Amino acid sequence: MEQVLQTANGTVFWLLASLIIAVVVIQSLLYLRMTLAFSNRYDILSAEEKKVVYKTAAINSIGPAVAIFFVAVSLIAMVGGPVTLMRVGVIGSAIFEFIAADQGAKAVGAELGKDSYTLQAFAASVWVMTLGGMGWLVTTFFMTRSLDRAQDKLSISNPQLIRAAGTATPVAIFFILGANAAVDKSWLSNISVAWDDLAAIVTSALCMVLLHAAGKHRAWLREWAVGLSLVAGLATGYAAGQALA
Amino acid sequence: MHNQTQDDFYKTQFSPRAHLIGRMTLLIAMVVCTFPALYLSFVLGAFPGIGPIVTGFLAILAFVGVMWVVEPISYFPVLGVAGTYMSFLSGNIGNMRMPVVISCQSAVNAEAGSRKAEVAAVIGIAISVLVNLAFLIALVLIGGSLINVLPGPAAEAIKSYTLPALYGAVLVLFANSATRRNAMTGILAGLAIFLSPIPELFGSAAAGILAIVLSVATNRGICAANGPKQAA
Repeated sequence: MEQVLQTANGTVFWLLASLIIAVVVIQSLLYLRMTLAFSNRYDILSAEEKKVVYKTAAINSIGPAVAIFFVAVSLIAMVGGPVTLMRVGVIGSAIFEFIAADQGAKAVGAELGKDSYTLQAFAASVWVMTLGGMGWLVTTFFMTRSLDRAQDKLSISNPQLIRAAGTATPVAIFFILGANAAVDKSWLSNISVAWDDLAAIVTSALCMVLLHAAGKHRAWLREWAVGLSLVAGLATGYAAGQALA
Repeated sequence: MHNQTQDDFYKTQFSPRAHLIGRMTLLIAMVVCTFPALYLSFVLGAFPGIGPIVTGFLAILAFVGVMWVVEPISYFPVLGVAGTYMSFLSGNIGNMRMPVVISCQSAVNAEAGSRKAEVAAVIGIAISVLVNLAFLIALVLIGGSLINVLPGPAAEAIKSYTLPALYGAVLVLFANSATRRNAMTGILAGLAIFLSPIPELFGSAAAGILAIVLSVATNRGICAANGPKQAA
């Protein structure tokens, strides 16, 4: 374990982590530059609107970033800073990386964070995280062009269809994410409701409805709406959790 | 002034460049992200053998294999081309990129599917990638000590309730940006998958695909019925 963390937090790993992060940062900057040029050329976003987008993106990234931070803390203790940084900051989601690291360790008969976690077990963890995360890169690499073409064809023949799919899809995704967070079940049996989670969901949703209505004529409220709803949801969820305990 | 229309420019310049940047950076990322595993195995000599790697890989393949294919499809209508390449390289899509995209689009009143919405999405995702990295780098440098500074209840609340609260708020935002029919289609698709025996792990991807299929089906009927009138 000691040896693993020494290696995992060594200079070479920091260098390798910086390489991957560099790729992500360069990609973001390339897209940012190209999109700003496109926007300016055709006046798509005004200077004022651009500022609003920057601010809104930054504000709304903070909440999730803090949450990711919490999962990352426990991962750092197991696989070190650089690997956490490159796996969680890039490609993976914190939870997926955890499972992958764990499965890798188990495959060599070791356990995360225990003495049995040798350098070989660490290598197995890193391999499983790498190959597991690679899947998304491969499918995105091969599928995005076809998806774009399919959407293009549809948008010529039927632009309304694109809007319909683009708005109905996220509603379905976030509906089920919320439902799964609040209700634990195995197909219509063993149903149990997590009332504290449900309280958090309902409060933040209601808060969002109110803020959205109030924000029709106040731009700053629209920028802060998700952040404020998040705080309200956290507070009620925690209060409900305490009341139930 | 410009001899190209916006749509023309988008199709002949913007879109091909977006694919080029995306594919090049993903390719480089695929190579670079194997370096730590290769270094551990062949420089430090800790290669665990093919067997354990395959065993571990198969264990996760069971639950991520489907997501690899389904996720890019179900998020594409919202993320767009550049957004898809960025989001799947930097991860954290449902818990960070999607909320950021819809917040930015609604902050500038961009209509779903418009160029304005796409521009706002790309800028929003790029900023969120940079902010998230800044947070993580700070975390790794400062270490866990920062978390001890937070009062217990606050830390507890953030750990347990960020995701549910985020889902509630973001669901409302997306529902508001949709027409009533499309919002209902989305909710029905989500409900159908939720009540089906499909495991929770595949739920969101399955709901996304079902929503795409249902919305195409319901709206195609409407558009076909309205078609002749519009033409006349």
